[in-house]
Amino acid sequence: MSCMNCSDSKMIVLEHVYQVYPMKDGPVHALQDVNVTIEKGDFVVIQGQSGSGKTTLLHILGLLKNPSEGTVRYEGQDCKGWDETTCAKYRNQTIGFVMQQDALIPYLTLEENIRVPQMIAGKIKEESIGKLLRFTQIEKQKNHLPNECSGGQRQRAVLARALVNTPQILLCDEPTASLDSANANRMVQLLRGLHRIGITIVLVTHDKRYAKAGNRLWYVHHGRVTECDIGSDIP
Amino acid sequence: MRYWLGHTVAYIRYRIRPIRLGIAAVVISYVCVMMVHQIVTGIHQQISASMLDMGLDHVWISATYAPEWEYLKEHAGYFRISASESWEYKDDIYTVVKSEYPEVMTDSGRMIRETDSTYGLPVCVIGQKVNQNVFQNQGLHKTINVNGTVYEVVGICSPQAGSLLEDPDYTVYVPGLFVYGQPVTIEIGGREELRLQAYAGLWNLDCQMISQKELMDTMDGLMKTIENGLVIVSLVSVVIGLVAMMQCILYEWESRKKEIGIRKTMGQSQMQLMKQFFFEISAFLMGALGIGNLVCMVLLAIGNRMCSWLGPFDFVFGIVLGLGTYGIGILMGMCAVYGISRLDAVECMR
Repeated sequence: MSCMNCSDSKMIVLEHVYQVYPMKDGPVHALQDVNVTIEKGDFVVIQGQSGSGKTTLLHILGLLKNPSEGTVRYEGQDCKGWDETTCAKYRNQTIGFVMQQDALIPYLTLEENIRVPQMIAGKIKEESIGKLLRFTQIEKQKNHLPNECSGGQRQRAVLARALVNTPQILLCDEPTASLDSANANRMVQLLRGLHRIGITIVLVTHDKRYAKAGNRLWYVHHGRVTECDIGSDIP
Repeated sequence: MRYWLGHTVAYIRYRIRPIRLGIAAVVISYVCVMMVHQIVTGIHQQISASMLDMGLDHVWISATYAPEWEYLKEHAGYFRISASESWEYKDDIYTVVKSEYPEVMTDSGRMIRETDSTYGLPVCVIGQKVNQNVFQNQGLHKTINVNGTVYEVVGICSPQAGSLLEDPDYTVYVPGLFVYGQPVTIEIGGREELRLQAYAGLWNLDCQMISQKELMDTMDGLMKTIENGLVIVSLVSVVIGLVAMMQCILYEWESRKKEIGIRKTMGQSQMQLMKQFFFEISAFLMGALGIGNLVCMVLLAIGNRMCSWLGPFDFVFGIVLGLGTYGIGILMGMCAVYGISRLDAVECMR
């Protein structure tokens, strides 16, 4: 799946990407002429107001949605011709998703939830699951169902699940939205730790406290993406 | 595989309450079908056995206009002709009774002879119970009046085994004649206290006849038609049960859209989703069929204490019905699953 001849460090490239949703009262332009590049090892924080197109951008980055127009390149490969199975396989092996609250399967224990991506890949590695349980500090709760755990524990389980197949990139959609301040900070600290060991991270958040969590900051407004300086104030 | 099955077990354990109605519907329809089959088959076999006990050399007459049978016609819904080995004779008229016919032994006195029939002698042989009830065991050489004719009792039959449809001990045998090579036995139907079975001449045969074999074939056909009808009704019932179950599962799946979205996000392909749901549907169906079979066996064990003719659990029919139910269930379930597994991950997670 990875590009053998790819010598550059570009992980994902979006060129002239548009996303239009046809609605009853006219089309909604969720993304307009987006041209962005994510390098390997980047920690990109995406901010913007509600309905600005942040999540749509994340879905396109995560191969969950095909753009209405434009090109998406993963490690130099154009994803346009990829079928559902290829996208699914790529997502499973290369991308880790950290979604908002309640992104766990309710009838599986935390450990079983974490194991799901490995089951999909057909490769179960118990030792990696153990390490992740320790890393996210939910070892004691591993046999608990999600509704028996706190919000912070659940969200850390989601993170552990996203990491279980050792992805190259982690896409996080408001992972701190439903957490209290302490747990939110803990989550961001975990993401920083992962960034330090070389995982590419894209964090969508509207919490301005975490604007400087990464090394790059994008601001999405009316479907247009602007790269901001880390030190600058977000509009 | 172990982990997928683990997911199925975990799901069933977690959500058994909402889907139990669907499982109950399948169990009830399956049990109804099995029990109706057992009852119909039991009745069929019982009637067949009774008719076979009577022997295949019988012919049933629906009506006759011979004058001497007017009395019998008034009292009988049907007459019966018993054929003997003389059946093969195709010439005009033969003496009805031979010494070896019918296969009845006499306790005292003698059996009806050829000459009795040839000359129309007013003699008769009576069954054990006729002797007991009418003559207080003193019937030999007494007389009995049948339709104005006085017959002398020349023999008392040995006790004979009866069947569902006849009791030979309540029988009076009188001489009769062959009709078209057939010896005739006439029985008054519907009279419980005394059945009259007479060998007599039907000089002008004016009746419809059906042999025991034909009657059994007709009955078999009728029972098969009933069974086929029941199978159709049963299938409809099973399908309704499955629809109820699928509705429950579909309702569940609607509430599991988010899970489907999560799984797709993690890279679970449509095929893998279908595989997972296949395991779930299989587990539901197998569970329901297992419970259904268990219930049937218990009901049959209880039922056989009261009606032994219900017979043992019909495994062949059970397997066929089980496979049919499973097949239809899988087909219906997978059709629904196919639509659900195609849902967009993003839409599912909304």
